[in-house]
Parts: sequence; structure tokens; C-alpha cells
Amino acid sequence: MVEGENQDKGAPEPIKVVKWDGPTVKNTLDDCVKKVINENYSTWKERHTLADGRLFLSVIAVGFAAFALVYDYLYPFPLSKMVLATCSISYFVLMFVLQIYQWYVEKTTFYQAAENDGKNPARYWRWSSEMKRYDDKYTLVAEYTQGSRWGSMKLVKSIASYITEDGEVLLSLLKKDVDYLRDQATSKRE
Amino acid sequence: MGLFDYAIFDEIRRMNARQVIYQFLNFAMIVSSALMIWKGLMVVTGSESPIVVVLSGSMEPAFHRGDLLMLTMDRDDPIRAGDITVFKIEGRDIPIVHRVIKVHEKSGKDDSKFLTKGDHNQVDDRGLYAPGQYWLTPKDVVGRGKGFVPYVGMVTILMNDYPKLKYTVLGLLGLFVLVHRD
Repeated sequence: MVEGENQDKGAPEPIKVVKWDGPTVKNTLDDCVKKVINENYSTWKERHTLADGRLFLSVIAVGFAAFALVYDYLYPFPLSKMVLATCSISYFVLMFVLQIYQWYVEKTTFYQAAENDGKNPARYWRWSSEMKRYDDKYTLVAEYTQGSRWGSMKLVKSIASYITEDGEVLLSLLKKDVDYLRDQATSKRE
Repeated sequence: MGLFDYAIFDEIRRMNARQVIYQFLNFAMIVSSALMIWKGLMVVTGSESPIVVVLSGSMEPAFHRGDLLMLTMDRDDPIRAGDITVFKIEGRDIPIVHRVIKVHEKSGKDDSKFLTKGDHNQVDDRGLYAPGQYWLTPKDVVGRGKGFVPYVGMVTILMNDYPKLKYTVLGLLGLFVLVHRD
């Protein structure tokens, strides 16, 4: 376990997490990685295409359900049969599509960014993470594509490397590893 | 400590706009799934109320209070004595589950008149019908019982008898879905 850092008057509020709650720890670490990147890498701009895709699919699905509800209210059952049947089937098809999207398109990605330094073509970054149930090992993967080039780097570390006894997340330590991943991913020649 | 200072709420405070929208959508999707299953059942069974809860003991020993009854509605299948029908009396909301004991049929199916009685009751249902009504017609029928699941309906009965319980349970479930990520 690492020692806590000193808090000076102007410091931002420490990020605390219940260190025994696996899923929450993973989500918190993901949020912290995002925070570290967004606050320190000025040429990187966060993208939300995957999240937007998921939101779009969900909105359409809920739209079908809402339409069915309203239509059935205005034109009670036997009249609304065809509409209800179509909406019901469409809704479940969309749910299935959404599930496939989450499994195969989004996977474990939690952060996307476009790195633009003005001279080279933009680099598109995708950061994903995994943490097994009841395990303390946090796997962080950084991948990028730049035109036809691509690179990736993986790091597996115990959450104890970033979180204190009290459940405080130390951003400085996390930043070191985020920098490391970025540098290693871009330096490997593919 | 204020209510929202507890650790479980840390996650929501850290959520950005997109994640908040997604949490609400998640909640909406759960509600929509239940709704679509219900409407889907309505289409498949043909009945506007595909699942009903038996509220009284008037059909014992066949059905007991708290049983969940599955209904289908087939207007082409003529109503015969012995059928267990679920019907609504005009002017009243609550459907009644009883057995048909007498049927009078004329030319077409929609012309038939029938009389019902609960298995456990001493007298037929004429006392329940609207004033001046001595027979039921096919248009009063909401569905015919095709199968049942025992005991499960007690949850609905409890929630309707104690509305505070219903709101608390639903409220907590809703809150849990909204606050918890994934």
C-alpha cells in the first residue's frame, strides 16, 4: 500500500473509493485515467463516438416502446394489435443489436481521443481496461491508429499501486503509468 | 454528513452528462422491456389482459387467492359450459374469474348468452351482474383461463393492499438502477 500525499490548501478534493468494491474501483480508476489524460495532454481531444452510438440505439429502442404505449392508450387493444406487434418485435431486435454492439464494438473501451499535433495525420486513441471479479489486478490497454499505422501497449498492476489504505486514489502515480503506456505504444514500430 | 455525502453516491457525482443520460436510459429500458413483454403477450394471447391475479377464493379448489392466471382470447371459439372465463361487469373495473354453467346460443356466436358461477359459491353470479342483467354476452368476456401459476400473484395483492409498500419497493429499485453503473 502506498502512503498518502499531503493535502495543501489549494489542492482539489481527493478522489475516494470503497477499495473493496471491485466494479466501483475499476470505474473509478477509469475515470481517473480520463481525468489525467484530459488535464495533461493538451493535444488530445476526447471523442465520444462509441458512447453516442450506444445512446442512439437505446433512445431508438425506448422510442419504440413509448410509441407503442401512447398508441395503445389512444386506440385501445384490438385496434392497436399490429402496431403493438411491430413495436414489440422491433424493441427486442434493437435490444439484441445493442447487446452485440456492447460486446463486439464497444468491448472494454472507456475512453477515446483524437490526438492532433498539427503536422502529422491525427492519431485516434482507444483506452480500455479490465479487472476480474474479486481480483486486484487492473489491466489498462492503450491503442491507437494513425492512418495505416497502429500501436498498442498493455499494463497489468494491482490496484494497490494507486490506492491508499483509506481508499484515496493517487493521481500522480496513475499519471506515471498513463505516460508510460502512451510513450510505449507510440514508440513501438508496427 | 448530508445524505449525499455517503460513498455510494461518489460515483454519481463523478458522472458526466453522457453517463447521467445513459443511467436514465438504462432505467427507461428496464421499464420498456417490462412494457414490451406485456404488450407482446397481449398480441400473442389476443386478450387485453393476458395475466390476471385471482383475488378471491370463489373458485376453490381450482384456483386460490394469489394464483396467477394466464388468459387467451379467441372470439371464434364458442363459449361452452365448463369454460373458465374472465369477464367484466359493465360499470365495474375488476374482472371476475368464474365458470360458465349455462349457455344459450342462437344463430351466430355473438348471439350467445351465458350464466356463470364460482365453483366455491352457493349461488350463481346473477347477484353480481348489473341491475336488470341476467345473462352475460361474449363481449363481456376478457379472456379464457388457459393455465395458472400458484402463489406468485400474492406479491401483487400485497402491493395493492399496502400502497406504501409498493412505492417504497419500486422507489428503491429505481434508485438502485439510476445510481449503479453497469
